[in-house]
Amino acid sequence: MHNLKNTELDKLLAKLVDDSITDEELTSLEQILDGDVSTQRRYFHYLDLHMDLQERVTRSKIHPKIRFGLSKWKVAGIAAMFCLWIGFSYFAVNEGSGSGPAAFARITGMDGLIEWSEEEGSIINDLSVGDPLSEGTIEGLTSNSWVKIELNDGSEAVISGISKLKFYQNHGSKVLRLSQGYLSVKAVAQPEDKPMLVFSPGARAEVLGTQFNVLASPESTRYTVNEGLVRVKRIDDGSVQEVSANHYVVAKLKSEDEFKSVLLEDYSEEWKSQFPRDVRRGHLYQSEKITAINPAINPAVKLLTKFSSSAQRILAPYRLRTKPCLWFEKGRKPELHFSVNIGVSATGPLPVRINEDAKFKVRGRIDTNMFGVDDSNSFIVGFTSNHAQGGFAGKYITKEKVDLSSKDKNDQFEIEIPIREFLKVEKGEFKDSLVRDSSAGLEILDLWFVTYQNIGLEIFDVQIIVNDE
Amino acid sequence: MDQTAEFVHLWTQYHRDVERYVYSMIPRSADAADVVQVVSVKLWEKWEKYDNERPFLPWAMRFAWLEILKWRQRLAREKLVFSDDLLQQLHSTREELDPVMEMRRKLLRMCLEKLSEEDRQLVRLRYGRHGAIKEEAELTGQKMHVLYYALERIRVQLLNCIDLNMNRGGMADA
Repeated sequence: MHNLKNTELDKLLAKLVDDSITDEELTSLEQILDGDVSTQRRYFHYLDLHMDLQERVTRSKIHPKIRFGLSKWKVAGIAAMFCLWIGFSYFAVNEGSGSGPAAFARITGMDGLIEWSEEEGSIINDLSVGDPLSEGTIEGLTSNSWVKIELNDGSEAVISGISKLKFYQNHGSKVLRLSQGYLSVKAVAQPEDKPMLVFSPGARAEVLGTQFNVLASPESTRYTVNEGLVRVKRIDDGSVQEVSANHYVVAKLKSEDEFKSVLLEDYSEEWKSQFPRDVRRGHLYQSEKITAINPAINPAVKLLTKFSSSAQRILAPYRLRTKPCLWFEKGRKPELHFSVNIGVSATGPLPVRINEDAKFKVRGRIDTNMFGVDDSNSFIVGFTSNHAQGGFAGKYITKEKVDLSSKDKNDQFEIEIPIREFLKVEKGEFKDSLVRDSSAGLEILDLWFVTYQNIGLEIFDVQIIVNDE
Repeated sequence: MDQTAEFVHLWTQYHRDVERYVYSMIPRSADAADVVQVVSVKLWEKWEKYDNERPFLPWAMRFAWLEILKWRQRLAREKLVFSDDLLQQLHSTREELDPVMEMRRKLLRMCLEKLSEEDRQLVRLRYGRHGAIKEEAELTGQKMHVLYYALERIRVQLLNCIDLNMNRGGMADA
């Protein structure tokens, strides 16, 4: 009987940790756990095992003593570890030893929180420019992180934003594995029989010497080639595209999508957000207006919308609400922020470049019921940019105040922000400063909205427009 | 060490313990992450009141428990949350288990080594990268549910291995 109960429990727990448990199964789980200490113990052991496996695999082996001297520590970075919440996989502790293998690369530039895990097991997050790196995994943990590394053959790689890159040598070939984020590579000529190999979700590329950029999401990878030739193979069906200079190709996990090298001229200067596709951070929800009108059609409508984007339009639009985060910056006390992050080039089908006359058109809502003594109807807007040829170009921000004086708008607002209002964030030793520097011609990767009090900021949609009709 | 540095140091050292605890009470990773975030904020707000003669983790856990209860109240009408009564029971059971959890984590390492290479590879795929199991299924022509069933078996195998070694060491908790 005891074993039968455990078998049933284990099945339910497997569904729980794999996020496939149904309401009914959760009720069954609750019944099994209720009043039974032995099943409760197994429940904890199972969940603990699940988290342990997550840590061990993500971090492979990790040195017991994490090397961080607080005086040198990039405090700004750890903050965003709290904010951006990259799963449950950081700062794990395990046995192991770092023995200092030969340098495979070295850091030539960086900012934000960067973490490096050696193949041998150490995890290091107090990196500095000039540090040698052996084979391992380097990660940008925050949206403001970037790191440039030079491989021992002179090739260069830059990752920016929340990115994860594993690099090593295999049978003489240099291998870069980008599992998440943005990578820009300038590869020196590689031996013909030992090309550089780049792996990313859904694709594998062979490189003999070229400059190219890789933007990886869980569902697809975009390769943009600026010089030379990159041979990209879509893993799903094995089809190959040779991507030459000024072309790009998008490889998705599913082979029914088009896989074709496209001329790089195909970029956009206008853009409109699409939720949930572009959500990178925030609480996304959909108003229940329709369900309130006719509850009887709810299940059918909801089912239909899963398969049809046109059916989705009959539901109320999505809204993206800010999430809290504790933010640390060098020289400042931790601050509570509320933020959302929306992908632009990072999640859309085409790169989006900034036109000097561009404007952001933002529709949203502030919940004035949440106003306290010193709350205000203002927020910070910022975006991350990359050079059109690849590589991190900088962060730009501005502060916006919205007019909520008209009561009949139900706290909703619609504002336009010219791109010229944004100022570039310049990193200083102890403090950042804002400088006027044109972002025209840069590629916009993502944008975010931040408030310092919880004023219930919700974003309905954002557009980048160039010519106002 | 200044106050901010001390807070960051302690939170960095212990936040994974808080995460584990919150996740076990709120087994939906996105919600658990939000609650841990709120806990970190609360801890910082109350940091001036922290008595550094006393251990940090139990202090942090108390805040975590309160935030779990608040989260429960907010989502009381949803089905995908445990009842108040069960949460209380789990909270008590979890406290009793604290002494053995660390030992179990150490044993896991040994038990992982006993898995076949094929099983270890499956674990690496499942926990290594989002979507990797799906890719593996497509590449090998296996059905997804077969791979997930194998993972279910592997987890049980690991649990049993840990239990066995805990028993051998006279450290059984059940």
